[in-house]
Amino acid sequence: MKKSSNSKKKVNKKKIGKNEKTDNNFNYIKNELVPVHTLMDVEEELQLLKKYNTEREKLPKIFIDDPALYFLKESTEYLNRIVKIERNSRTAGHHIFYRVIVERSK
Amino acid sequence: MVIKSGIFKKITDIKFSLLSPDEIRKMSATRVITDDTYDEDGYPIEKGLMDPKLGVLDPSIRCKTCGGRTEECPGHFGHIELAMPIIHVGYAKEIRDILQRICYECNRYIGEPVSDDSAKCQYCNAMRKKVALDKPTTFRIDNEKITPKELREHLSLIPDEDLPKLGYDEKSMRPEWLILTVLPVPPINIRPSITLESGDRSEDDLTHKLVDVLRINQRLRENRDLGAPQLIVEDLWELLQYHVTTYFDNQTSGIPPARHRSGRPLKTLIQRLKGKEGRFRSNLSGKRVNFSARTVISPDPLLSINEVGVPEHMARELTVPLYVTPFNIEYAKNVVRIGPTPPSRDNKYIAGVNYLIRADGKRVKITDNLSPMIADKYVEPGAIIERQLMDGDLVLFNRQPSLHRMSMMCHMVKVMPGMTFRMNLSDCPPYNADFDGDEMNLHVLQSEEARAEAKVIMRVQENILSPRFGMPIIGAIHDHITSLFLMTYKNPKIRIGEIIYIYSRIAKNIPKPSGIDENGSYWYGRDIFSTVLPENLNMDFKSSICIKCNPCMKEKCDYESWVKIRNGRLLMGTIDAKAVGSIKGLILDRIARDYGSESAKNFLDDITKIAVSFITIRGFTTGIEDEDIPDDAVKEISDVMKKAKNDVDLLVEDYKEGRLQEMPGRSLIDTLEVMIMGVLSKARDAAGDIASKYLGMENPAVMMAKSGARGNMLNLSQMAGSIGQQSVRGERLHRGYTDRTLPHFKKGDMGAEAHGFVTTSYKSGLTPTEFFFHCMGGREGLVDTAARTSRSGYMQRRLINALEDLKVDEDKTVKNTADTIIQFLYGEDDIDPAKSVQGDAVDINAVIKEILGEEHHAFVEMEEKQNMEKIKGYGERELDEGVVETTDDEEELDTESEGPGGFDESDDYGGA
Repeated sequence: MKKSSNSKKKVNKKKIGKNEKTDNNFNYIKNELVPVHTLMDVEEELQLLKKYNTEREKLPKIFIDDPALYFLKESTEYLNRIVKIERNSRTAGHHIFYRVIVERSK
Repeated sequence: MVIKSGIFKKITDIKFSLLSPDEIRKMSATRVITDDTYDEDGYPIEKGLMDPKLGVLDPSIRCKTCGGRTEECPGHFGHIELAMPIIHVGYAKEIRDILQRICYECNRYIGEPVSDDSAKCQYCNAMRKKVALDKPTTFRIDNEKITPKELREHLSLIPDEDLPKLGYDEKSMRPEWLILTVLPVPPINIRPSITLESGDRSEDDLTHKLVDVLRINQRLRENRDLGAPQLIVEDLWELLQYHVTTYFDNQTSGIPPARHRSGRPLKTLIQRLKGKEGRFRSNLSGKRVNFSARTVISPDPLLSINEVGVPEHMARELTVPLYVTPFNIEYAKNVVRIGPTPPSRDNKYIAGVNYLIRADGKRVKITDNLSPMIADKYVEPGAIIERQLMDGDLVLFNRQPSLHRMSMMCHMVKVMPGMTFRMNLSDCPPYNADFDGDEMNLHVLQSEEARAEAKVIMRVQENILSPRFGMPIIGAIHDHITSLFLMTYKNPKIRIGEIIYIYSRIAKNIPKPSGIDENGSYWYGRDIFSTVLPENLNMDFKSSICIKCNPCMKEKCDYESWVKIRNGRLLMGTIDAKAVGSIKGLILDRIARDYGSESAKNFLDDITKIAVSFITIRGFTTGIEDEDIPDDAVKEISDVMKKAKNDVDLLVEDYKEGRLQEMPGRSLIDTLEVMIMGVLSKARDAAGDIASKYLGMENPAVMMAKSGARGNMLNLSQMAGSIGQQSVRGERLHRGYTDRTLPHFKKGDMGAEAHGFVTTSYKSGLTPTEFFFHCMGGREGLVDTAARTSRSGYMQRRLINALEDLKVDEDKTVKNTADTIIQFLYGEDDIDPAKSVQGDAVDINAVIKEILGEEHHAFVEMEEKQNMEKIKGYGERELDEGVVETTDDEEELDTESEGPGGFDESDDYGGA
């Protein structure tokens, strides 16, 4: 029983993987529900930390392999850098949020 | 102040293990042998259950084991050597699980239990045996009873390397330890004996149980050593097993609970911990507080919304600390001299003192005789006086469930005779309180800091505007609204006698008479209301009684529903729920926002007093006669009902003949149901319309409904006209017997009456079948409320646990206790919902109106025209002329307790 269910899962995974690669019509980054993520300059980062009088560890976090950070290609040199997220807000209309890039823990 | 943050200590593992017999012996201070506790002189017997080595209870004695006094000595365990091994009830299941997985010949792990009868051990090829646990502690192997002694041998022979396979850590335990050979005796601190007034000693339940264990253990040992018959030994063994089992858990299923001599079941170890009254829920998670009180609440409209009436009994018991300093020492001495039971002066309450904490920390009880001496001797800087509660003290007042921040507000004490807490009726909505037996809690603030904070942020007047919907949650209710309606609708003339009565209650001067007629001078109701309005208030809005004509006639309104206030004078219109009511009150909202909480408080206090005194004189009553309608109307309604039933029959016929057309997206039967529902709901509305045609504005019930004081027109039409279709899950009633709801109908009857249409009214009474259907609909409502409250309660709990330690920092970021940022700007828009105008930061219409003054109408009309052109083609939409309009959502909020039956009070029957 166990073996058969395992093999089924594997098959499914493969199928999903294939679809992702072949289906070029859908680009999630362009979806209006995905806010714009941009990497901040080092100088901007320092200004930000000064403005909020805080440290990197105390900012909200984002995993480096987050799909919205596709442009970083999961390169470790970007760890601890800060991304600026401009998103629509139900209360304020437009809002800027910041997240520090962290490694995904196992 | 710099607070270091971060994690200082981190738990990496928690290990669970068993006590070995050796460990039990090692931690034991003494072996317990005798079942006697005290000798004739009242001294504890050595090696008995009250051996002084097990800890001390008497403050004058030092512990024989550690030398500590009562406060220092934590108590010490003893032990009992059991004559024969005994199964621990708590481990019976674990023992069974092990036995099912080992071989009885070689005692090795042979895998998970199998259903195969012919299975064999893979090591010694012995047959696999079946293990059964006869609850609670008897084991059978292949249907033969096995003694704990044999079991223990099997368990002790399991090799160490097989233990991980059974799920145990071989380094910290052995499976044979699951079976007891030594029983730990808990320290006497956890089973203290109490000396009764008569001098008799009374032992703790646990001690009683241990006495039983010791007694049987001794007999078992003697019989075994003397070589008594096997049968006797086995009986005693079983009895010992019973006593040890009940010592752990006296509610084990399958065995009778051990009882006290009086017949009360003993409270043994598990009972001490388990359940609502157990150690965890009652003593560890449930903390109790001092300086608090609880009693029934009752109304007092003469109290301010900021006050709470406290019974004198309570005030004498509750205290506030008074710190003696060089500056207040004379005052303090005088306070102490008053003593704990001061005589009342002119029937007025005087606060006394209960205790004094001397500068050296000692507590002194103050009695009437001693008070002068204590005042002279001990009142010095550094002493603290526990002064009784007096008028003006700040307290927190709370009603459970504490669902929002207005469930706990700061009130000012007013000591009163009687036994209940008294409160202003306007404070009911935030607490969701009524007076059908509700009880509330009161906490006396003990420090200056707490009082300052509570006064600034928790006082009732600071919480008039609710953060839930940006409108006042504290406002006039029921009678107040009715009274103000009576006072302003059609602007009645009020004479001097009544005026004096009304103005005797508020701190306002009687205005000049509005006019003089043949009966002398008179005042208009609106002019009286105007006296409590702020001087420069200007407002225009539509009141609750507005019937929403299109287009609105505004100032030329024929129904007195256009309210116009200029320079604090009510020029036209009716004051009702829309003006001063809780949740909807626009005047209240405006005053709280623009004139401050103090003015809002005064306004509320004044209108409650005016309203109550006016309605006292004017009189107001409602009864079932208010729903009387003429015979013609009854006839008319029954005709409507007949026609509706007939229409339904025609629809059913159409359906059966196949003439019915399917509606898009619906099956034929669904179409029929929808159409029947439509016909019947129209009939109900028609009946309601006929009824309300005969119920005019002079009808008290209608006054209450239209002014928003209590009830609505649907309630009235259900009483006077027809109750209408009963439903379960939004459909007509179908459940019951095969193809019919009740045996009163033919099978397959699809008519109106057979599926829960109630043609009668509450007043005329229901037919038996209708009554049954009504119960079905009503039951759904009850079940829904029960399910809803438990589910929303749990959701609320989870939300609160997740959000409870978040705070808004000075720079408007939201942080948690570790100082990590949750939001960079509070709410992303930096708006305090309590100060918002229904969620928006600024009410732009109000600003325009204020700046443009009377010209704003022209401006708004212009704006309106432009907007109309813009939205043309998007469908019709009524645009409001710059008047703040409460949305329908809030009206729903107001009637949230309503069941499907439509009666507000339906869920109030259960009592408090």
